[in-house]
Amino acid sequence: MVEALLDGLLRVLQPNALLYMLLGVFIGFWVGILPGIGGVTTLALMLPFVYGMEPVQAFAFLLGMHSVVATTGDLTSILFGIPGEGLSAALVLDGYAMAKKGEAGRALGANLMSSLVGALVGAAALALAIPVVRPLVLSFGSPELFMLTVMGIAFIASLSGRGARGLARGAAAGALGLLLSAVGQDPQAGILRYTFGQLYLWGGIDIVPAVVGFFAIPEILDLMVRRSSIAASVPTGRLVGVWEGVKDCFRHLGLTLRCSVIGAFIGIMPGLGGGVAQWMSYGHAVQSAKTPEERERFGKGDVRGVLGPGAANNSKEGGALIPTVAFGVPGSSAMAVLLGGFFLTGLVPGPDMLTKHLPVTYSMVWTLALANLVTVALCFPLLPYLARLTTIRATRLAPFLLLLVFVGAYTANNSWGDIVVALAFGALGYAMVRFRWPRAPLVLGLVLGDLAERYLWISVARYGWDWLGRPGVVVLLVLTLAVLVYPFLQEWRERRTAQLLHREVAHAD
Amino acid sequence: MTRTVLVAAGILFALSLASGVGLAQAPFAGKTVTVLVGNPPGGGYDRLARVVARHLGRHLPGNPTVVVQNMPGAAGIVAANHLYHVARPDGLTLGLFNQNMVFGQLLQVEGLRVDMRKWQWVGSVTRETDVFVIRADLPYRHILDLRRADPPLAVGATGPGSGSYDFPLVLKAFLKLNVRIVSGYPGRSDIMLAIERKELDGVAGSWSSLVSFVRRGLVRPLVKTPSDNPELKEVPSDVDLVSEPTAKAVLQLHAVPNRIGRPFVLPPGVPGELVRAYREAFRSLANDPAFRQEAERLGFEVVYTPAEAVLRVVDEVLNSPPGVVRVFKSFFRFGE
Amino acid sequence: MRTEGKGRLGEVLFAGFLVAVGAGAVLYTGSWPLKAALYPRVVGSALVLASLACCLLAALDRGEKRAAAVELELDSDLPAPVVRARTLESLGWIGGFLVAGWLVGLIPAMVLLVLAYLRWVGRESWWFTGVFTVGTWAVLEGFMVRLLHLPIPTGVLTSLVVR
Repeated sequence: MVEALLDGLLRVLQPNALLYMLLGVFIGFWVGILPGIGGVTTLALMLPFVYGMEPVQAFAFLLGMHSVVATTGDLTSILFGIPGEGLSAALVLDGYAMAKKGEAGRALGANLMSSLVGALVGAAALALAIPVVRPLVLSFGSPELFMLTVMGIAFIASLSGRGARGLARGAAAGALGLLLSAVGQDPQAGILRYTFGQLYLWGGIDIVPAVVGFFAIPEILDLMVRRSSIAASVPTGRLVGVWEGVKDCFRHLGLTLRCSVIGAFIGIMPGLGGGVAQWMSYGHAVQSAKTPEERERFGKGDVRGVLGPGAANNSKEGGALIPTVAFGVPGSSAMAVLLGGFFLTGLVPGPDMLTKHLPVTYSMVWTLALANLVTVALCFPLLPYLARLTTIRATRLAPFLLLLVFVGAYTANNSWGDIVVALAFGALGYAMVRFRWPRAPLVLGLVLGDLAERYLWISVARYGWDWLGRPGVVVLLVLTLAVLVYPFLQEWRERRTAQLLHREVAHAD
Repeated sequence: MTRTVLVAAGILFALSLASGVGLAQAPFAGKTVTVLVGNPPGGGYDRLARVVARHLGRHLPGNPTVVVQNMPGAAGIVAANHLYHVARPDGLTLGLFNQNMVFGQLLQVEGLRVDMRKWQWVGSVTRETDVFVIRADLPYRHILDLRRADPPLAVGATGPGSGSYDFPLVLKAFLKLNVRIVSGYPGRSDIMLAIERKELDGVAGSWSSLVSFVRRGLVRPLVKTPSDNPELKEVPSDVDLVSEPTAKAVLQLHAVPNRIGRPFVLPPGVPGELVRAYREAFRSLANDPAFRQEAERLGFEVVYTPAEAVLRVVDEVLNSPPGVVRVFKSFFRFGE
Repeated sequence: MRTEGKGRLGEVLFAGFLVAVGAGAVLYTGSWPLKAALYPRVVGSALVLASLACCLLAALDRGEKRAAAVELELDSDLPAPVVRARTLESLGWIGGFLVAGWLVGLIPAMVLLVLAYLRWVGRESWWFTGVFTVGTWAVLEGFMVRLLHLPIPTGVLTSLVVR
């Protein structure tokens, strides 16, 4: 195995492969930043060029492009509060808040560093998983996937506010999200649920325009009303630097690594999709706060809220490669396109990739690692300049932000329906922010609801009720209860400490 | 100042006339042809559209650039409606839709505002076959062995309206197979993984999407819709396995779109000479060795079906006897 | 800290609206088979209960201080009338942009937006406005349409005229 590892590295370092990788990185850089061009569509565009290439070169190009998109797509989330690639929404919560506090540079630095860590963990996961890939993937059946989605939904409790009112708001938001995810054709009986005759809604509400509108529109509206710059509340106008962010990543290395693992793990399961990874890691990051006060800092610019999703976004790509390479089953829509790359270069994804063509597989691992290293090296010098964008007057920025949002929404599926959805969710998001309702639970519900329903019915249809006794299910159930109960526990502990202190003070008098 | 403006306007006007003149000589010279696909990127239709796009330009007079645009939604209905009613019939937009869309019209699916007979069909360059496969390590060798399957075979599906649901359903009913359909998987990928981990025992789908798994030895085909594909020679066809005439007719009806393959269309209203140019181009494309090789690598079976044949098939479907349609409706829906 | 009266009413109405949505969703599942109806009914009922709770708590105005969520805050130092006026104006810009996009196509609408917004709201110089307007047009038309062939809608009126 070690020889294959080295062999793979040598192949990637061939001048041809390196050049293709750099070309891919260059293209991916722009794709992530610019609206309208999605990573998956660009991969599909680039695919035909791969015909006839050597496998290592082909994947150096494709993966080089693909792995960078996840990193640069995060930039607009942090700078402008506009989720890039639609999957960087969790970053908006704390990343944009940091930008508003004048800490855009710090957020960008933290994000870049955690993206790198995540990517490396994802690549390592791919490398290490190869000997154990079968038992790993195969131990997670539909019942376990159901429990996993339920666990994700349980994070709603942590992302709500405190006290009865806060929890009620979070619960309502979550329930609304869960309900909205039921729109579309039902997978059991084929009934068109809540589509009201609209063809557009057959497939349900598309997450990307919904999330983009939900987060970006209230923020842009706020900007247009305030008319100051994004980082206006900073009195002296000095921005906190990028290095601070890098140091943050290492200060919280444990969290970053844990979220990378979460991302890689979720990436392995095709059905869970990319949206789940960032929110689960965000929920985990929030839970890592030791006291309820600390928890309150999230959403207002806590760097940990940037580190978690930043890492998970990148590590999930490494995870998604695992089923693609080992089973020929694409772990994400980008991987579905990548499969075409296998066919065009004459490879058959599957067990052969783990035996006969092991060096090619390892070359993919190295491509992931190297492409991200190159990206980080290239982006770093740019960050301070990017951070300065937050000092530009809102009136100069607003039209372009609107462009990012609406052109991006339309070109995703070539549909006005997406613009309507973005607007509708924008209105909803604005109302929720106005009344101080948490938005994250709604997104969690929207992303996970449909999946939870599907896996529940599959589990029952396939296993009757026996699946409740499966060890994996029991473990996940316990974890879910822990996730659910944790915020209450924290609360109770804090009140006890306060009571004890109070009593001590009373005694002392 | 006024003079400058007038001169500029004059130049612009002349330029626009010039490009108009160019139009008469080589219809596609300097233009961009768009292939509109009713599916998202990464799937089989998208892949086909892109490989066609890469080679088609060479076969059209004037060698235009050919690009692909995705317009997913409602299993292709959104794109079909758009091409039919909204897109300009200037011959620069070609459509590639779900081959089952003719069933959408037969079953009178709400929202489909297209008459399949009025398309100007260009033809198709691939042919499809649907197969039902089971995990290779299962002991059943012949499809009819599944009548005595114990425990019942678990067949995975995404939902009613998809081939993974409807085809096993009709096979189960007509061949009296002991199978259970487990529906709700988010996508084909999830079904294949479930087969790997033995949560599922079988799945139905198009040959081009399952071929890599068969070749790899994960699954084994047990029954197919009628096809000349040499790789499937040994596999019995579903039509041959039933004797009751209505059942036979329903299965044949189901297999009809496979004879169309994945069809390309132009909207009504496109001038006849452009339609003819496309038809010729597709004919020569199907014989283009570079195209054939690339398409075959991607798992497609390259067979040219001319427009007249496609139209005949469409007519055949839409003129099916109501008795057959009634039974058909009880199994098959139109969906993703 | 008591929330201002107007905000409270708004929240009560909003929560009330959600109660209606949840109830409506549950009722709408009336004729569906169980397999399709179970999930929406469960979730819809949860929505009704949670929103009712929010509605009551908002009406009684209890626990606002601690309810601060993991969220962005739309606070502002500007006086409320100014905020209201500017919000409406901004909504007007966004709405106008989209309507224009629908009528004449997104690219002309975008160019117009940049031109109009920079000049009249931003009060930028003609020079500045001009540069960015032309730049926007170049990127949209030259890069996105000509080079990448991205699908950008051309507008209802335009297609009527050109036909």
